[in-house]
Amino acid sequence: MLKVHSNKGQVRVFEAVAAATIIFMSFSAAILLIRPQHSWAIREVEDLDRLGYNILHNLIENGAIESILRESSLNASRIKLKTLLEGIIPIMTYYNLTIFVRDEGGAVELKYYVSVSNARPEVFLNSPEVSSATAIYTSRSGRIYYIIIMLVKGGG
Amino acid sequence: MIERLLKNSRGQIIIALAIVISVIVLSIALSTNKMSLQSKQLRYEPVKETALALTSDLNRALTLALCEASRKYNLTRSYREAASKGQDVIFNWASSLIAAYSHLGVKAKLSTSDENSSRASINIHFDWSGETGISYAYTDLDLDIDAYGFRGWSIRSQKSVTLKIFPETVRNDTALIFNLMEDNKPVPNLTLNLIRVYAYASNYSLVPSEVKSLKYLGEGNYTVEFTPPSKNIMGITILAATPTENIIVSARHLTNNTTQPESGNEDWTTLYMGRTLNSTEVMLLPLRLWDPKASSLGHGKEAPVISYGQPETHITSPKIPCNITLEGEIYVNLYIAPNPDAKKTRNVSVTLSIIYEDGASQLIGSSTCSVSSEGFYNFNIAVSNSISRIPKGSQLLMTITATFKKNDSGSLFIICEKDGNQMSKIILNP
Repeated sequence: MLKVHSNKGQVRVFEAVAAATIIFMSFSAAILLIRPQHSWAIREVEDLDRLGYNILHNLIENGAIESILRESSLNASRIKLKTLLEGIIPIMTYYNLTIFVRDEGGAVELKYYVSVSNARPEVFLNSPEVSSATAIYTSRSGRIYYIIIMLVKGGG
Repeated sequence: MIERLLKNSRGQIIIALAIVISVIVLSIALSTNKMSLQSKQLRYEPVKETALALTSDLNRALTLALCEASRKYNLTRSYREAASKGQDVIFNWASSLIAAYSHLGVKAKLSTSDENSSRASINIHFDWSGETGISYAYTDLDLDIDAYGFRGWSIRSQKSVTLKIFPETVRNDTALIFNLMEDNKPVPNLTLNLIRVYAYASNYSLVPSEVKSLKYLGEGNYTVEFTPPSKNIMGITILAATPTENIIVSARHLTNNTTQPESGNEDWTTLYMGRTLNSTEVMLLPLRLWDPKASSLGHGKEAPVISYGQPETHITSPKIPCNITLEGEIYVNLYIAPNPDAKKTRNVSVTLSIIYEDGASQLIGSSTCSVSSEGFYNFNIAVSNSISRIPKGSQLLMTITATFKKNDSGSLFIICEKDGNQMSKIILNP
């Protein structure tokens, strides 16, 4: 009689453990499904995209790019551009701003003009959330420039 | 047996409940996961930023085009060369745009509503002959950005600079007030080195005057003081360049006591619609023979009318006292005002012919434009290959024809002079 009761108890325990295991497994699977993959990266790229376009818009519309491109030497342009960007871009953000110029020959070709950055090129190659924003700029001298800025959130 | 099963089913119910809970939890989790995947597909794309950046740069390119064209026009007084200079800037910009944004599949089409222009990417207009001078350019941009699925965006970019002389403020031909506006906004920072004043001497030659002072009065108005080369001047021309963009504009004021000049020195390459002191009908005249007082509607106002009943009007020049070389195109710029101002579109054709001394006539060419609202219309007439010049002693005949539908009761006024400063004209040798 006692043996039958103890068997029943063992079955109940087993059933309870099985039920708990099922629920635990389903919750674990649910957590995996609910947790969005790389959502932080997506959000950061979006924010950086907006930041990039805002920076380019400001540089162009307030005439900063025009005065920088008027500099007689490329080195002076580079220093001015770097100083300006360091003041605008939030800390712990890596940037690379490159300016191309339209070749004034017959063919439509963009030539490298100047570039400034606060990070090594690998940072932009290896990061999952690289943002880039572009703009075309016609200067008062008639030269046409293509500006591209790449941004990466640092410190993560 | 059944009783036993019922007794033992308590544990199975627990497992069944656990399974039901699992199914519910997993289905909620799957739904959430699906929603998050969809939100990734709807991720932010910088369409607005790209389109606005392109538009903003188009404005800069158009400004540069007008600057280059106005400088060329100031040097050469040739519409053709000036327009070509401006168009080159816009063509360069459009090709650079395609090269720079090829990764986004950007397609940009630049056009104007001027059907007559063969390179109709930009419309440039200069009128520096009256008391309000204008330098103006516009272009329409149709933009597609395939990478963002953004198609069919259309926008007009335009740039204008106007200089207006207030004739009532001219003091002893040594000072006057003028107004300078850029895109209808006052230009406040004009300096002495950006302005030139020329006086018309008694023989209608233009002589530079020394600018003594320039004072800003606000709202784009300036007082300029200058020293005319002689006391008896026939008029004044002011030429100004905007401080930031360097767009040149000019305006001219002719004094009211202008007497009929001696004939022989007229410029017959640009003809205006108007009357001489003695003529009874509207003619094609060089500026020096045109008399603003001799008009049917007040100061310089003339308006030949065409309608369904009379769809054609002829305007001739006097006998031209010199040979005029013709080459390429003749530019006809007419101010046309529909009456009533209903938005009907009518085709207006302008035909130019030579009437030789012996009475024979020869067609130079013709051009057609769609007219729907009041304004200046350009008719660029390609000169027939068989004609190289208008010989001395012959006349120029301009025939303006409009197509009216049968029940069209409206009419078109061909305005000779608009608001006392802008004139319909023919440039024979641009």
